[in-house]
Amino acid sequence: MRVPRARRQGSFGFNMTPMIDVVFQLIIFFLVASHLTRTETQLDLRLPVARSGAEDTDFETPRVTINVKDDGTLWLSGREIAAERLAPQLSEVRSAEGDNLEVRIRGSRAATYADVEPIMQACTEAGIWNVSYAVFREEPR
Amino acid sequence: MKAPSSYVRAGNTGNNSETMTPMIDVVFQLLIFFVWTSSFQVIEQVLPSSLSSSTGNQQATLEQPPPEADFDQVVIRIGWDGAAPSFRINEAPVPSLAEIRSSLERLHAVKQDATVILHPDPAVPLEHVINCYDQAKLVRFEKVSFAVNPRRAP
Repeated sequence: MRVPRARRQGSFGFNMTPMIDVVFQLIIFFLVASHLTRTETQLDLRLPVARSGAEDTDFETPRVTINVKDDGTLWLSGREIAAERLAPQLSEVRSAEGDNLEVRIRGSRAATYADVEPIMQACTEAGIWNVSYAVFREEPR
Repeated sequence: MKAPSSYVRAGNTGNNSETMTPMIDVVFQLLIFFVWTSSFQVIEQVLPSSLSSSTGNQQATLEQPPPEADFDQVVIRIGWDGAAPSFRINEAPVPSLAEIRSSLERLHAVKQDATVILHPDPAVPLEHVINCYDQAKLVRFEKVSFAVNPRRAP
């Protein structure tokens, strides 16, 4: 039988193995959790392409992201939402977050304006004027 | 019989740093994997906008192209015939997106602070709406907004 070397040599050094195990478990947990969070708020959509788009550097303004899929369905916080329920929902968020609330529309390029217009109608009804569109700078490869 | 590793053969026995090597290998593999996969993510940008609530009266008064420097709004209507978009600037037909750009450049030369209002038909795909918006921004109009019809009562 092969005897572990450390015991044979009688070393009392600090055993790193459990700590490494725990650290790896934590790394994997946070990677998976962040991936799930990202997919919840950023659906995989073919966004329109625009050359005048700007880098998103404002991380302080409170923001609500609404996704519009190819079939025109609206998705808010990872859940599908009916257009007529948007205005009360946005009003609620605005009263909680403040008047400078931004609504980010992530609309598929195949969605029609009729799918997107209810979002803007809901924004006007909720008193939100800060609306932005998510775009790609160039055609994704 | 299991042959001793090259590290042991070299006389490095009983050293704790030997156990670190596989961990460093795995960490580097993970690092390379995540750096590599992150390069496939397409970076999104934003087009800031503002809303403009339109009424029927406003739309009806803009039938003729306004005279030079005698307008505050440039209304771009976008139609959709099922296959391709059609454009009208202040009710004057414009054949293509490239023409939209040159028309907007002419208007911008006359009045830089005019407000551009996009008024797409409901059936227009978002791609063409954003294309028009993009052209107006590239011409450097500061105020570009979307006309939003008031919601119809159910």
